[in-house]
Amino acid sequence: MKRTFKYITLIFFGCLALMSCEKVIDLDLKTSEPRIVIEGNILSENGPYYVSVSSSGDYYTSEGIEPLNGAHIVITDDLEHSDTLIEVSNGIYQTQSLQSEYNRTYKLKVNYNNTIYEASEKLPEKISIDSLTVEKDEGGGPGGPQEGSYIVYCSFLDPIAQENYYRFTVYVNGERVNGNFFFYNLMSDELYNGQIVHRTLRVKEVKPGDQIKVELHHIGFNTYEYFRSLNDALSGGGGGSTPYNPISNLNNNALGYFGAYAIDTDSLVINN
Amino acid sequence: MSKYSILILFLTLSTTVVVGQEKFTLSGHISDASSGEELIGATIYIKELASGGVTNVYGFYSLTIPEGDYLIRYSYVGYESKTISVALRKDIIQNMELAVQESTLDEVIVKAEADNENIRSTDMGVVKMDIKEITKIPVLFGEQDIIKTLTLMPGVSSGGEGKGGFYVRGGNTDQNLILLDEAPVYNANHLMGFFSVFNSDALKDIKLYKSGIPAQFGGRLSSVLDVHMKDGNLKKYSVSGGLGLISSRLTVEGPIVKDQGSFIVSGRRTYADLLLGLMDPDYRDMSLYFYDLNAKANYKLGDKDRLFISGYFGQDRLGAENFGFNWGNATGTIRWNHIFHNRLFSNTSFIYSSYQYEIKVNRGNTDFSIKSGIEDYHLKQDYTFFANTSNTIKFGFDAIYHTFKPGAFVAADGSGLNDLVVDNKYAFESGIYVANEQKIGSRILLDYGIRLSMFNEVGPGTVYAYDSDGDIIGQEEYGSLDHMTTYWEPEPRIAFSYILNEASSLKASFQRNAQYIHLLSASTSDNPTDVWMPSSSLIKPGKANQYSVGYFRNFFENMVETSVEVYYKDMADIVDYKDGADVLLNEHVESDLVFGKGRSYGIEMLFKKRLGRFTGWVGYTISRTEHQFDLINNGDWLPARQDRTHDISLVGMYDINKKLSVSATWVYYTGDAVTMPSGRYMVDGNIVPYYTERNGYRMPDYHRLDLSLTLLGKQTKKFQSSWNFSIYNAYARENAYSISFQESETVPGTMEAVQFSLFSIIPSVTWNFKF
Repeated sequence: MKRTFKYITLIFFGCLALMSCEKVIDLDLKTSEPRIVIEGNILSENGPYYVSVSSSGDYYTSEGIEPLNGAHIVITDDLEHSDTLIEVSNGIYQTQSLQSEYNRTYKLKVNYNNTIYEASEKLPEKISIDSLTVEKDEGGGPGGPQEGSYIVYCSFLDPIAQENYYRFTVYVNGERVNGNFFFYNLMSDELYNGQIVHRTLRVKEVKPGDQIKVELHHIGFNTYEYFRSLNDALSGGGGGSTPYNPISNLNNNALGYFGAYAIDTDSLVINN
Repeated sequence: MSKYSILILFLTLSTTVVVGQEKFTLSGHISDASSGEELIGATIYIKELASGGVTNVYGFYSLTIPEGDYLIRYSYVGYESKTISVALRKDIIQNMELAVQESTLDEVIVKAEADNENIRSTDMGVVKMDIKEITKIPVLFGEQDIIKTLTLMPGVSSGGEGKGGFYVRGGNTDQNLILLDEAPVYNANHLMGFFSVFNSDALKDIKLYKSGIPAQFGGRLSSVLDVHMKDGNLKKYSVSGGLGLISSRLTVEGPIVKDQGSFIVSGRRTYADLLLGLMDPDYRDMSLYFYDLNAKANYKLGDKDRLFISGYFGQDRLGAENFGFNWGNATGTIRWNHIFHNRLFSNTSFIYSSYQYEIKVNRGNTDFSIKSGIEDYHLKQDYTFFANTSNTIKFGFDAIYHTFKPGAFVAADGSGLNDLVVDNKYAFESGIYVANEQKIGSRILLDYGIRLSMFNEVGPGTVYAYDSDGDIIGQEEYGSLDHMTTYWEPEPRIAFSYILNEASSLKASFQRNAQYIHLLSASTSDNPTDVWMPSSSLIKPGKANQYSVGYFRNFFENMVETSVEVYYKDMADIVDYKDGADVLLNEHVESDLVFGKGRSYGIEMLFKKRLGRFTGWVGYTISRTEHQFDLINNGDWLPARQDRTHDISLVGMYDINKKLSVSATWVYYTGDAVTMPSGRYMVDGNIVPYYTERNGYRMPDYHRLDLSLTLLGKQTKKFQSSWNFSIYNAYARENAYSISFQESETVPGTMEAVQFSLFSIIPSVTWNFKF
């Protein structure tokens, strides 16, 4: 729903844009104590799975990621199978034997400098894409329809039984493209429960012959909450709501998340 | 409670000492001689008794004094005063018409008499706006706006360019009770706050209470903005209006029956979108405008009864090819004035008010709409008993039935979408009050009273219980009109004024207020999609105590007014959000809220030149507003967004000659407290900002100069016109609307701050007419 408002705000400020101005300014920001950042995912595909451990830095730094080495990391499932990860490159840790199963809850435990950070997430079942269709985007809005704009409909059946959360990732000729209004294209089944969903995904600057690949990620609630709030954080905190750190399932003030997603993929080629 | 009633009784009786002489009542209405409009706050002065009274909001006065011969002087600012002799041997009804001072400019300078009402009244923390003054102040797009003008006074701060609302003494924008002919206006903004819902052509009287809020008002913590519409010309028909670049106005008024009843209809429409379409064809299919309509009629049913019906309807519309978004207020008031025995004035009001927004999306197979709003039915009974020249007792009661409509998402059949309706919520809000305005000797004025307010959330509804993570751990269903939650609060109010001499006075006041309804906003600015919520078992009513003292001093025979006021306000049970809260269509929004306390204190200085060729004022406020929530910033006190350390307004108006006048305003305020990152990290290949504290940064300071020139056309008895040229933001200051961050194009991998400003310099022209 937030998307609708973003759209309204965009139109309103689109009008104002004729009079308004945007410029890069020098703005001093405070420095902060480095904090641990953990990012780990369990996929429905075969392992190995990866966890990265890094540190936050100053906002204006030009340094890349500052990896953290020597963390002791264990992933355990709800049948008490556990797997200790090994550091395969700077700050990147890899499972050795774990193979994911649907409807299992996985627990991540990271011990770094004698502080323990934990999170858990359930891997949902795979939801299959029924069909992918595409049509030219004839939509209005400021600027009108643009050459090379297409709407891809991703159709699938939402299970009626429980609350479901989804993430859609679109690739054009193998390259990932961002969502329309927000970086990540997310959906909860609040308005769609038990229905056949025709999700509209927009792609721009596409020409006949291009390959469009869509991944439907069925994600756990914690993963959804994290990416929903990450979208807010990435949208830059303009005039909108008070910015905040994305809602993490990790404890002990760690940044990042531990997610799980079941992936189904389909693709098509744009015709003339 | 009983403590206060005894106090009131005692104070009243102590001065109502029975004198062995018969008393009679002199009463009546005071009105404008040319239009018949009742004058609010006109003064009646009895020379022999060195005492008198003022008219109430319906222009009524009543004085009960010993039998005798008196010289009575009737006066009102800007009007010729009149003195009559009265032989009071029985009750007398004496209506009075006063004429506007008609004189040449030079005469005004010499002859104009200024009163010292600001010194003598108990009013402190009260801002009165003169409609005539408002028309001279430069404004955006040439559209006069009372809220924009009010923010030029100390203690009243603008919500920010393009953000709407106003802050009074550190209170949030939802803590202002905005009344239009007694009906609450729930969203006073048009077009994201660039305009307010008040069309100044239709207005008669504007009063903002920052403190010393009279006991008849309740329900908000910070202020009451009491706006009264014109009643309509009782003498003759008149048409006035204005044509501007982006908006036009038209007002028609006249008698229904001469001197018996009258009406006024006033409309306004903006057409910025048409202009936009001409400038850029991409926007041709878009609509973006607002309109509003004020209408009022009144009729005198004899000397003792008068009936008023008034209404307001306004809508903002924003649309593109396949979607529409509109929002607006509708209010209606029916009032009946009745006078009992010339001394007891009664007003009964039945009030309706609603605010609603609707979003419609037509996108082929996925049509849907979202609706939300609030609706009130309100009954209000007020009495004023003019006991004697020393005591005026006010008492009454009121009850509001609120319907809260948090949101309904309705999809078309076959859209593949389920409906999502958040249940309506219902509540009664009621109050009883008694207050007395008392003079003790010639130097002391007291205005004291108490309001007892009560709030009942009633069914049908569901009460949920949540654990600390916001997960539901229990629920209870209630049937229609079942009591769900009850709150009540005694709200004592007292204002004291000690007159040092003709030119100076000391004042002090205390007030306690309770607020039972809360505006939940999805963003840090006022939006049409904000949702009003009732207090409930989880959301406690907000409470505020305010203490203030002031020194008022006039110079040069009241030509120059100065004042210094100091206030301290503490607030309990104020509401804010947990991180990442979602307000829209959220049945469980209560679990996303945090509750805390607030404090605000400051000093307000005003220097105002009221008369002469050059008029204007300087207002300067130094203040601090802080909030504290256990779950935010580790429970530390944090600056509220509206914490404006310095807030300065300069207003100057100069009459060059009878036809030409110029004016200028300059405003400056400390930038809002905002949240910005203090670090960054990487997730999934994105640079993510890292926030360490809420409201730890400041926006750049805001300042702006506006200029205006008014040229009167030929003025005849039949037709008057004027041209207004104005320049908004004359030195093209790029004030920050927002600051966001983006990855640098020149140095990939690093972030840079980007400031977005709404307006540069904006000239406008408006042609006004009246016949």
